[in-house]
Amino acid sequence: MKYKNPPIVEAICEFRFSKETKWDPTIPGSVYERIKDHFPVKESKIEQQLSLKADASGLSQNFVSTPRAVMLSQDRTSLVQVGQSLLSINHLKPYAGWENFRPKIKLAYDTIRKVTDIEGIDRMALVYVDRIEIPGEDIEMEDYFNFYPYLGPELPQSHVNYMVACAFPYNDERDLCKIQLTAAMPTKKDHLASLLTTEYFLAKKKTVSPDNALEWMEQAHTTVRELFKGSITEKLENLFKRID
Amino acid sequence: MTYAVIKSFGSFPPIKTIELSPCEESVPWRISLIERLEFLSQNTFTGSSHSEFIFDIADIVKNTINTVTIENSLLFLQYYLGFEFPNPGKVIDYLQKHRNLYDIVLYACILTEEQFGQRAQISLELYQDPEIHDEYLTIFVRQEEYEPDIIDKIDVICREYEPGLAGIDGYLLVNTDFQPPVV
Repeated sequence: MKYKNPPIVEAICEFRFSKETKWDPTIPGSVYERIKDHFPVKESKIEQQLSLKADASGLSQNFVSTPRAVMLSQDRTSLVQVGQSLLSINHLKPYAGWENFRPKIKLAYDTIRKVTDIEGIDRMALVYVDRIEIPGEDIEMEDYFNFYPYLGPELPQSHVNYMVACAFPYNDERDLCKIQLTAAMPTKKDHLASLLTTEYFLAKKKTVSPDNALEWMEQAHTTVRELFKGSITEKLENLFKRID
Repeated sequence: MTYAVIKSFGSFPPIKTIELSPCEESVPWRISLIERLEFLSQNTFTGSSHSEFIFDIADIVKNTINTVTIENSLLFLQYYLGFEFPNPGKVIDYLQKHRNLYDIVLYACILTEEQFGQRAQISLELYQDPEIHDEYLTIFVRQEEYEPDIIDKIDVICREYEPGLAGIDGYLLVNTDFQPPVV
């Protein structure tokens, strides 16, 4: 489905590789050299992992620093992040569709497989974040959403903040797809703003081989689309102005 | 025995992480930010329905930043610290494209609220300079009656957060235009 006013503000594809996957500090640089035609802007962060150690003397904490490379397109609307056993591909608005996002995922994933042997995948996910703004002062959420906070008759019927989430199992619970609806800040006067987040993720480690990861991602995308469509009403979809 | 704390957006990541800017000098301010967020989480709203919301904010600082992180943080600033957002869409867009700036902005906002609190209107805005086509985030402090040392107080805030700006793309300024609060 394509819309004239698409609500997608961010799409995220993320891989976390198993600890058996060989990793060294040269990998981000090697990835950058291979994809810099598409992601020429390079930035970096130091990521610190906090670990807590408990022994007879009590608790102590330790920070372990690892660099993370961030490679952005010239217009900063898409980025690839490479960190310790991590690959993330993000696309911000304007989102040009799966047919445009898929090649970026494939490029990044194929590239990292060229620079190191991916032994296994602990986690991977496809996440879509939709920002939805509905005009009007008093909005009946059930008019626009098929997934929303239900308020029984004994409860106040107006609210200013909300967060509802639900996870659905797929493939014998190997995968889960979570949808979440939360309040957001309206950018227009007298509008209700919400974020609808749909996340399909691998829930059981190493149950999908690295060779099948992109195929898995296709199924993830299909499911995310279905759940998004199932979460909204025709009245809301009309606000996006469907064009296909 | 070594273990890690797990709490994240969705299913990621398996280990609680703290993102740091490239320069090691920035670590103290980031730890200071986390301490402040945890204070807000544990003390300001203990026992209320807000505590989970605030906790998410504190936790999110330590994880990969995404749109949900940014939006939640702005709501936190608006609902609980009383910030004004004359044009939130521009602020959101800027932070989405300059994510390294995110936690510095959060830190500067909390510092500003601590310094001026109820004595000023504090707003987060995207300042756009039409002459040189430059734009950056600005925290504006506006008062009904301006304190004579307001600039000194703003300078104290700037000295706290500015080390975090080194080497990153995007910019943040705390300032006043000596205008009355915007209604």
